[in-house]
Amino acid sequence: MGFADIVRRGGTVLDVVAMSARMRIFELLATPATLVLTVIQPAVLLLVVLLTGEGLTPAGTSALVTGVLLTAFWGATVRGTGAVLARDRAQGVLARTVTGTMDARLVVVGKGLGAGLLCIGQIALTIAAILLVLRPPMTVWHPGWLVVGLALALLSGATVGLLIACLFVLTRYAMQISSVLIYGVYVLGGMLIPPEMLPGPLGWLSSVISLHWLQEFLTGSATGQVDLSSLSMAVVLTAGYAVAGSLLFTRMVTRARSEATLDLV
Amino acid sequence: MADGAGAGVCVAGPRRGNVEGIRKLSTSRPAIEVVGVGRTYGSGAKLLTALDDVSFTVGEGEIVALLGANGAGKTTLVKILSTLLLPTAGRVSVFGADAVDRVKQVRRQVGVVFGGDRGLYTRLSGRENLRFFGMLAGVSRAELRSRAPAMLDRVGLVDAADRRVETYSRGMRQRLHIAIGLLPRPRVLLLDEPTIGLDPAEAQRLRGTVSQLRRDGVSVLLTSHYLLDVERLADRVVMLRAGEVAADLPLDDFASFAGYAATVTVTIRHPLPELEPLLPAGVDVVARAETVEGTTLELRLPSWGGGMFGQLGSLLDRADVTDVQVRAARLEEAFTSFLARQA
Amino acid sequence: MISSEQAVATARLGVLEYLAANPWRVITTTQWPLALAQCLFYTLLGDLADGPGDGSFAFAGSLGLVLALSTVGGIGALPGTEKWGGTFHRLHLSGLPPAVVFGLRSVPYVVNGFVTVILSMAVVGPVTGHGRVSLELAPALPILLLMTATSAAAGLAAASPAMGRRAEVVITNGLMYLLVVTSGLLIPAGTAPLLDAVGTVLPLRHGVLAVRAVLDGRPWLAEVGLECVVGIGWAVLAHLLYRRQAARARRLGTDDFA
Repeated sequence: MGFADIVRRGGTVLDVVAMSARMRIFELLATPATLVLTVIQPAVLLLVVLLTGEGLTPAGTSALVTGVLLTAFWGATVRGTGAVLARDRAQGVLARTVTGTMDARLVVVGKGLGAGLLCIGQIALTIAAILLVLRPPMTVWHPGWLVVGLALALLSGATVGLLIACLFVLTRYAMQISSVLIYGVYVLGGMLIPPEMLPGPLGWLSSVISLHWLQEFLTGSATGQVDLSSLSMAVVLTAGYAVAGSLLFTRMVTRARSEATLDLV
Repeated sequence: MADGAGAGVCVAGPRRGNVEGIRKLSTSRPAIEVVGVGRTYGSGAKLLTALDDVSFTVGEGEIVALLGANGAGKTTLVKILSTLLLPTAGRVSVFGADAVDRVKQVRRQVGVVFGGDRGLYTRLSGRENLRFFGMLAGVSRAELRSRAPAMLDRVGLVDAADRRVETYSRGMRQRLHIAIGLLPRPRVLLLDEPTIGLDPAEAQRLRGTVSQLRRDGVSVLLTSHYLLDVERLADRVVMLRAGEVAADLPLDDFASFAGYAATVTVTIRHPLPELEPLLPAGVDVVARAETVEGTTLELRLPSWGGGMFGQLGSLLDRADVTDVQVRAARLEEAFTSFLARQA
Repeated sequence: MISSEQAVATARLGVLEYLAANPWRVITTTQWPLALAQCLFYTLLGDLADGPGDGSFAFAGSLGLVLALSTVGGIGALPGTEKWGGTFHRLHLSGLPPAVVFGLRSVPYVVNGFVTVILSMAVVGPVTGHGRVSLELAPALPILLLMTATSAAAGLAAASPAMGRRAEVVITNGLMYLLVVTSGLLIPAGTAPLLDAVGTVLPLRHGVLAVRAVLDGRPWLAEVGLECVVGIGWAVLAHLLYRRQAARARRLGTDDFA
């Protein structure tokens, strides 16, 4: 394969991802239900932690705000990204997605990125609005590291979405299972609820959740302590999700083709 | 109706059970080749056979209708051809590419029109749907820019292109499905119940579009319960019954299964002359109704032709005819007659 | 009016429909674990934010939240099911009051909500170190049952105006989260006057105050009475909204509420 071929293929891959992302953003903008996880829930979580607590330090407030952002993002990712295939199946468009000439994984990842971008934007705006009203004293993140952290969160969300998408191809009860997954990670994922609050053996689960390491990284960057090892862990886990999701997705689609569980119409 | 298959050889195909007809094999590479395809679901006592040893071909530029009662296996076969489903036995190829081993190559050549209300992103516009599915089918960005508007124009959706699909009528959604199926310029098109739910004008418009495809050299496999589609479009009919091929015939040969070419309903004022002994050979009186004004006879003609009409005309000259209605045999009658014979 | 036969048949349909959409396997492996996870999350959140009562405040509030998830969240989707299934016109033609029909069909959601509260008391309480509180809450179970009913009425009312505008999910979830913020479940009463004012007319607030009064050994009857009044108010509102919806459907020919 010559250089020109590589460039052309790369362009095609970017095209597929970009167009899929764009499609998903338009779809979500036309779906008011998205606001529950990107506006209402983060607002409520933030109000609960800021209005309930007494004697919160600025660093503690920043940690809570970061935790709310990542917690809400996790919920929105599972619903907005993982549920993509469930929605596609319900609308009867899943068949075209997996029988097109373009790799369906690129489409799912693209839609995940689009959903993630919109969700992070809406969640961040909501949090900013509430902070402007309540004005709690807090330390501010380094803008550069904040962007890095959020970009990695976006990628992480897309790759997790690919993994969760497999669930939606496998079973019709994926929505219920994903709801358990959402709150399971809320509790055990080490974002808003620190692992130290959990009984001994359960605390380690957060170490395999990339958003936990991003929580550590972003909390550190707000206090001037840039924790690159946490960032590296998040990168490694994101790559792991991508590989696992990619392999699993291909197997799931082949299995669905064999067992006739992909609807034609 | 013109036989759209490429020049070839007529051979006596292998007789199997109730398979009737002669399969015409093209000497050029067929567009679709289905060889011994089977598909089962479940196992053991719950084994369900949807397809069993199905074989047929579709030539380049040919329109073949896939018919059968509900549950005969038509949709299963279309799913296999579109690579959505794997066969459990046999081989399917599109222009020589195996649909299991060389999936991408097959997908590049095959377009599918599913029809119905589903299969579209209803909260997005027709244009967005077309662009996205075109991309999935491998149409480049540059080509999309030029082809998508032209396709919307071809199917008459330019004015509605930027409206949400959920506001579209059924006919408009069907036209969008066709636009999506044709946009990548497939060499083979699978049409699964394309006119379902369409009013007569929309259905006629769709048939015109499909006819144009034949002229463009596209091979079409069509499934439809509306036999008017088959009458107007198909070159050949492949009939499935309980997952097996029961017939593979040119359309005219299939139509002859009705057992007659036309029905003539004639009302004759009393007194009725003795007509029946004078009826031409092969003409049967299938119904007779007596009214105050006269007798209404329904006659079935075995064939069209000047001779037949001449004989019938001179016969009816002997009677005081008040009304004559002529109706050609419909394909539905061939279909039901064929199924009855198979049973 | 609805006869007793019709009422029984309607409630029975509600149970059958509920179990068809939520088989026991799904209820026990996903719904109940989800409720427990939600209760656990909000209890820990209350602990984290260093709220009052060493976490028992948040635990008691989380019980109210869990039942609202089943009632407001679940029941709110009921009218939408009629719409998407295209069956509302049959309901319309029957002459039965839609709010009563939906209310009777809500019975499984109310029962499930109450069951999840009991499960949460039995599991989350001990896990989070509030086992003693769980036992002390046992006498307050009738109040929690009342709260299940009042939140169900609010859920039904909230679903009505949303139908036909694809906003059911937003409005019913919005109400649920509004309850979280204003009902004193997790944010103590008196923290923000605006939240207190809104919460006074919403279900759960007076009920949870009554529950906390039981825990503290204080008088609770007045708050129970207020909870009943609020619940009846929401039930009447639901009835009026659905009647208006049906009349509007006849006038405009929009049987699917659109």
